[in-house]
Amino acid sequence: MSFLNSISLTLMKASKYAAVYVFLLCLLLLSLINIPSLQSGEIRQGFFLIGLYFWTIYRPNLLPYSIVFLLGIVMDVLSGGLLGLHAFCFMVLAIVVRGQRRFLLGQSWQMVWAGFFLAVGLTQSFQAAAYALQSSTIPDLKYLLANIVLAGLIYPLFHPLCMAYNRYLSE
Amino acid sequence: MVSYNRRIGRRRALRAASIALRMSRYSPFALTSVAGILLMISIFNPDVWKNPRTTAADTFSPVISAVGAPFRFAGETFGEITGLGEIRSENARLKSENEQLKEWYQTAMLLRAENQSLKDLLNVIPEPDQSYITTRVIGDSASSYIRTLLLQAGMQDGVVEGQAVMGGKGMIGRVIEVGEKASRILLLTDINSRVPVIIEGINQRAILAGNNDDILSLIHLPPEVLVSKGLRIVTSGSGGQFPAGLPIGEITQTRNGQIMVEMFSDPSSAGYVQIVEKPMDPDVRKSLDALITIPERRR
Repeated sequence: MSFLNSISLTLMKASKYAAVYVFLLCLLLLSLINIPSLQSGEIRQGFFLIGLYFWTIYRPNLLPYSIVFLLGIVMDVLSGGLLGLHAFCFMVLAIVVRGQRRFLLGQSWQMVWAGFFLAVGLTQSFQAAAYALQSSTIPDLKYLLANIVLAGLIYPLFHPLCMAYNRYLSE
Repeated sequence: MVSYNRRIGRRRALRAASIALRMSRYSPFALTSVAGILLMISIFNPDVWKNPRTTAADTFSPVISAVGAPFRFAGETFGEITGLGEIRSENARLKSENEQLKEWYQTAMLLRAENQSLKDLLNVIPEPDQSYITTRVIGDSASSYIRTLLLQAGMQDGVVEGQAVMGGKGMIGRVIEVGEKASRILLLTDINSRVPVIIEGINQRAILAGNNDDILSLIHLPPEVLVSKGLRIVTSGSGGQFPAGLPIGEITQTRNGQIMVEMFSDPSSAGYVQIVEKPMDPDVRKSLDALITIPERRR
């Protein structure tokens, strides 16, 4: 009986953690879905970054570098863009955020939010530079700024939800 | 002897642990380097990863479509609810437009008959009929720096690389990757898009270039050519890639000495698209039609 109990407890724990991966995969797919009547535009670009940024700060053990790399490759393959670009951006983001993790953990959510703006800025700048190199043209800065601002503005919608789930994981 | 073996075993375990620790310490940099190398290869030769990308798009297209279904439904419902107020004014506008179109219809019928009789007189070989594959847009590139769309139709539906893709009112792009069940199109707005076009009215050929913006630009246009706002841009059919005469947009403005074109169909709002089958030799088409109809007759 105790053996069955321990199995069910382990399964429950595993499903709690698996939900984080399902959430991340949903965010990744949401970034790629075409919703014409909602005119979502550039706002979707931050969806996956939100998940990646939050869980790298609060649960880095759930996001080993190999998973981050793999998710980046999946995003590259599905978006039809330059292969390796998202993987590179996500890896750089994960390394930088993990380096600043201790500092960010002790800060208010507004500071974490400000950090997210920097994180989006970093990844978007990498993307702009890569496409500038590929097309030999200077990218339009208005898109770069729009992406950073719009992705940053939706962060507060996700932060409380992720925070509540993070607390649930600690129980 | 036993204690010696234990010591050796412990030493081996320690060495393995230290290697694992070192690898985990360097793995982020190793993975970042791998991503960087992949990126450099894709920048200088983007076609290298075409096959794995097509296979992945094929595999994930049902998942993307399924995840997007509730959002599409919500979007459509929201659009319907907010559009109710506009329906009355739209109805009045359409009524008056319909009256005008009835007059135009009569003129068009006269011109059509006249055109047909002139063609008969000149023995003009008729253009092969165009056929279309209508399909749903399920995904996009999720980036401002590359403009592509993922379609829910592939090789098994008759999609071929290079086909033109139409939105509601005009051409929006061309097929660049084809899988079994899904395909990807490069939009005319993408910076890498170049399409041979003709300016209607003055019959001037040019190249329509995308620049990652909603407005396209006309390049390779002789400087002495005078263009005016409102002139229509259609495909020229040069090179045989696309059929001639597909509407794209109209000239709207001049920016830094460059002529800008606004598209008739907004690719970002396209829910469904039509893939135009490539112009084919009429004889080949006839034999294909015969092949298709024979099994049906046997049934």
